[in-house]
Amino acid sequence: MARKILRINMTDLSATYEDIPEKWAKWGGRGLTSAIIFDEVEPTCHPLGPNNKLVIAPGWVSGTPAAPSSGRTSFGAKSPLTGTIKESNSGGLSSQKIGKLGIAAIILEGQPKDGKWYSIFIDKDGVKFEDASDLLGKGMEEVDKVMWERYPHKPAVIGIGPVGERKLTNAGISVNDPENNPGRYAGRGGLGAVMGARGVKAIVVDDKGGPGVHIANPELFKQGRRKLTKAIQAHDLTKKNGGLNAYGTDVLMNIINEAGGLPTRNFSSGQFEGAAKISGEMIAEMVEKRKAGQTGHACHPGCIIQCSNVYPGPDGQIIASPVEYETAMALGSNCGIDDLDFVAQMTKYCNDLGMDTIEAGNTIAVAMEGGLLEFGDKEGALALFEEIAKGTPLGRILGQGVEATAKAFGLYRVPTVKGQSMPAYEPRAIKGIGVTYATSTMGADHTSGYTIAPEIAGVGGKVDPMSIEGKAELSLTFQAATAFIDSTGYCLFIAFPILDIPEGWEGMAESVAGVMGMDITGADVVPMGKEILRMERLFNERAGFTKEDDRLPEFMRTEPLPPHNTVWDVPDEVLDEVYAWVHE
Amino acid sequence: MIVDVAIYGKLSKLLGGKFIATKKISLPEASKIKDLYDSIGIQAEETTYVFVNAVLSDMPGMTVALEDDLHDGDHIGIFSKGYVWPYQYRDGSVFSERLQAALAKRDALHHDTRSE
Repeated sequence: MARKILRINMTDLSATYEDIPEKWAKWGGRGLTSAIIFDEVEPTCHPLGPNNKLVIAPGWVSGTPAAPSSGRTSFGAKSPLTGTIKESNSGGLSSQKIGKLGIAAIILEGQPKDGKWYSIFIDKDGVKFEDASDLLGKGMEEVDKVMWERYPHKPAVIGIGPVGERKLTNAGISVNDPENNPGRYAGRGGLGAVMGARGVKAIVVDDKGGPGVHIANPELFKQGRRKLTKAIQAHDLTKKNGGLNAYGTDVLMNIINEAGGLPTRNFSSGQFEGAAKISGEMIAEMVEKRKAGQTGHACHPGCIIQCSNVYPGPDGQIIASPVEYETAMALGSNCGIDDLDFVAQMTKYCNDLGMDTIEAGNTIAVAMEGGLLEFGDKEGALALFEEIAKGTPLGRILGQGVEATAKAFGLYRVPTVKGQSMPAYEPRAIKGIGVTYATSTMGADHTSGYTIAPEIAGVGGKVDPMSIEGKAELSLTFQAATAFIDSTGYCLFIAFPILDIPEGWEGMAESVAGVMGMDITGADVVPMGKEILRMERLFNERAGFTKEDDRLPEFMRTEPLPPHNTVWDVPDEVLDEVYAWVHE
Repeated sequence: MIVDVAIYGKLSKLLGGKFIATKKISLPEASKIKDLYDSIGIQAEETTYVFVNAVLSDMPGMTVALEDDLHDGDHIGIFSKGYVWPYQYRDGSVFSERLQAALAKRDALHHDTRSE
């Protein structure tokens, strides 16, 4: 069965299944969300107004049998946080279930005339709109629980917490995990506020009896799937008991700290004396010592990397799932907090209230610099989440993220690009990532530029890590490859093995070609990724962004970062090269 | 001289750790990284990333830091096998001169992470 577009109009509460137009037919995941936003959303529209749309798309291979680690759902819209186009993707249950219903994308548009809130139930028989007034003000833990009680077959629950209902710009979109916990987030960019502005509290997806994903060339798909699975299982980072499986993404905490690139106390140092206490190794130790929780947890069915974790408190009760590296940086080192139990409790608040942990932690760090609290005040930081939960004026400011909070406190040191705060790699110490932060179509984003080997990507030649030469081309290649992987439905972490193992790279492309019936190989990955980037970049230009927006914050150019005492010194001309090709 | 050592992963057992161990270690003057390894019982090929005062001095499968000089007060961070620092989060960070020279002779994106 050919894939369909499900268009849900909240103005007249209608739902229609449309044939996928030729211009979108080759896309899935991020490629499809960005193509639809590019075609249908006015770049100058207000992100919370009637003309923005939320597009939800499973990746190409999501829902196919045994494609490894392929449960990513892309969410796209014009971002209220950045004003740019945005794709934010999540694990959890939704991608495979939407795919198995034969849906290529859900376009959520319009706004209810009556100002009411709705939940939307989607299954093989169609779409039902239901009054969601009983769910208003509820956190995602309760929403997920209610939906599993209300509907059979353990459906996917896509939802927003109170922060999304208030349409604050740090609102994320939650997707439940296999245990029905709300820890999987399309966190970045405030897309929960876009969903809230459509009057939708939750979307529930039940794939029971659905047609499944049509696979055009099953033999090619199987061949690709086998190669990719083998590569994932062979790589030190992604194999069973490898770095990610044993310690989670927080395996990077001690490495980045040793390198002097760990954002600490609102980006004022690259090393944190308490890093080891909030690292992945310590999470593993707590799970073992407290005889509760879990490392090697899968965020969606069929994941063979299993980098998630379930973090237990001192009494063995589960506090939150997962505690990620980015989370431990933002709520930990960047706030001067070295207590994992508190990091986990703040994570629980984020997951329940519906917020991105990176933006939330960095916001508290900014508030600390503004004098609201001392750095390291973990009880004070935790109490701020109660302000956000209650929706006090202070809580509403904090719920808007770093830039709004920095303005409220009159700060100059604001670690953002295009309105989005920086993830866990200090660009003054790790300069390559700074090129991607500056130029990404998404604002400061660590997932925008995943590495692929130059010989695989066709860049050619050796790359000198200490030289600025070649950085622009490298960043573009990484961004393009990432845009492609974000379209597959595969977790971005497959990038690690396919970087090192060429058969894995081929396997990824072959599995996509097999599902879609497209004549593509590994050589098409970067060119197709560039097509996606071109749409995104043009959308941003039409929204008013120029190359002068592709810059890191001024203070990073003048304020040396300990311990290396380096500043951001990559010339603007290098940054301008990254997207110079768009109008060629 | 006294150096401050942090070991991450399986090798931390050599200093009594589970996943992480830290210790101040006394070494004779003019000691090198290899002398530190000998004093702890580390086999160089069991290490991956090695930092000296936040400068990346070794990478998986390379073992080029053995002759690097140590000084009183140095901090050395040693990672066991199983760790990977992906290129995109490493590109443009500070490397030792010896490691830079070694990398110039091979693929700078190198991870050396495929298991046997």
